[in-house]
Amino acid sequence: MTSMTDEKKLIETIRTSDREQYRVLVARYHAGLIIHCENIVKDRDQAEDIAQEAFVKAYYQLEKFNIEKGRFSTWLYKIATNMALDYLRRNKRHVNVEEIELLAAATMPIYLEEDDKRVVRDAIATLEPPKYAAVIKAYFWDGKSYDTIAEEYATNPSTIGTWIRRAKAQLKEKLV
Amino acid sequence: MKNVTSEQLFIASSPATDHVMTPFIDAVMSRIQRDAPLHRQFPKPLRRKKQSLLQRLRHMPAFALFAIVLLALVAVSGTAYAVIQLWPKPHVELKPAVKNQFGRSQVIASFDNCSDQPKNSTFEIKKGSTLDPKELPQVLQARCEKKEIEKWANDNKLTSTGLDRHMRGSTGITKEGDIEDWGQVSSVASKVVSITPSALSLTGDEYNSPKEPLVLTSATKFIVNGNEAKREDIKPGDAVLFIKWDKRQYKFSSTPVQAEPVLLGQLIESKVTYVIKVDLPFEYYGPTKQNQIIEREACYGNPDDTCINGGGVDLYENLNANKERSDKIVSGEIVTRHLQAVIQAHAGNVITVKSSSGRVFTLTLPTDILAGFNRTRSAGYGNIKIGVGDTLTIDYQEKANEHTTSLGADKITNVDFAIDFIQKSDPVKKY
Repeated sequence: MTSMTDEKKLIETIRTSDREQYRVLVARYHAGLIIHCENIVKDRDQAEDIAQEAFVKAYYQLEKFNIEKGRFSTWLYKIATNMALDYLRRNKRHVNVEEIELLAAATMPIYLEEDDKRVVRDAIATLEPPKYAAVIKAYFWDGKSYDTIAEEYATNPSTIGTWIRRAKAQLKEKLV
Repeated sequence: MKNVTSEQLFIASSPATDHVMTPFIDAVMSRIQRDAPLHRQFPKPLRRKKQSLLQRLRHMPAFALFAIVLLALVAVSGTAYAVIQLWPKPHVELKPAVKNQFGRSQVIASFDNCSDQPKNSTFEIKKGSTLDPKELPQVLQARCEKKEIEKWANDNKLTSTGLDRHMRGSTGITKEGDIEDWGQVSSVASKVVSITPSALSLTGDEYNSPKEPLVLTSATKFIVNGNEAKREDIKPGDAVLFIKWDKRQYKFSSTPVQAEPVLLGQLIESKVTYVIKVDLPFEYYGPTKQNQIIEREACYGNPDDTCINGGGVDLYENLNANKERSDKIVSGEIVTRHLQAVIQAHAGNVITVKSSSGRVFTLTLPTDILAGFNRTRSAGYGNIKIGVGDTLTIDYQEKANEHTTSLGADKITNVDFAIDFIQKSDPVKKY
């Protein structure tokens, strides 16, 4: 994540003169937000819809957002979480809110210093076999779905899920 | 890096991606560029969950499945139009209206064939509504009919759902010259002015009916009474929905601020694939009638209370609450609850409110949020002043086994002032 000062300037520019700059915020947060929504609603296509709606809603409420009180990403994720919960409430008779809160918390945005980012990226780069690193990057950085990644590797989505689980197990050892 | 998930680490360690271009990003920017300039707006409702073909077939009523199979056979055989109901006719029954705790008229409606609408739902008529209560059945019938048409279009891939598959591609990046096709059911019904083999002129909703004639082609299909029909069966004066596909081509455009040009989609072609005559006058399908009612549901975390999912103006936010309590939220020790309640009394930073179940809550906030709004922000909202009798929407967190009615700033994460609207251009009105 970038510094608060840079983001403050960017948001001010979007509000006052150049709404096209909103693209920068969307590019910065879309991968993580889709994953966050997918974590809650358990459906990739619906997660992308919700994430898209959240970005649009955040854009139209940008004048209300006070960057002095917190990060744009936290506010954006809150909007998306509420939309995901609304979706679940409309489509399910009972929603276990405690369980949903737990799922949502697992992908809420965190801030890493540059040194910590390098540690994580270096750990990803050393995954064996190398396709595990590529899959981690495709899913968590590029915002690609399991289906899309599976097509690229001529395999099925459940295999991609297996590769990601194995990559996480390797990284857990490297990063503990 | 204690208490942080691996997902959080991966996402947070992403290299700078400020100028990456993907179909998702373009879809968001395209939505923003199509709509009004940056000022108060309200988001569109969420689109339907996309199901696999097997799931759609499994959940489809048997007669609809039979209808789709027959329709496919007729299309292949090239014979005359089959008289087949393409989607089930919705049915709505209403119990007599009653006054609720908020002084509003509300009805309980039972639905059959209304897509994802719960079978028994409660609807409230908004304050200041001009709706004749006798029109309620038509408003809800129109709501269901539009939902069924949208579901039929979605299930049969007649519209885009989320991102089009072909846009994802292998690189996930849109380059100059790429074409995007985007199709959807019209947001409102309109009245036919004229219809020819090549053009459909409509009127009706001031903000949402198309101002220019729509392009029809030899491939445009027509549906009347839920059955395939001919163009001649659609007449001036009929109320119709339509499915329109817009084709955009992406080209680089420079902006004054950004260092690099960005890809913007430019409309190159627009065509109507379906014109669908609907059962009721066009007004019933648009915001003029639909926004006069609002659904009232159980509040999450407070199932004995009811809430409406309407607009709001933020009065207070504690963005750091989740971050500070993340461990306890993860463990389930702390839960989030939602509430809507009417202001009973206000003394500085202490507000007393009453919820739909009759519970009285005391909110103690760091500052006098009502006076703050009235003093500094009221002018931006038509000089509305918030006070006793107005409705607040509150999000708060507490221990899972706690059900306190005394909420301090340590518990409250959000307070909004509930507002109403019918058309998006309407001035802000109190709920």
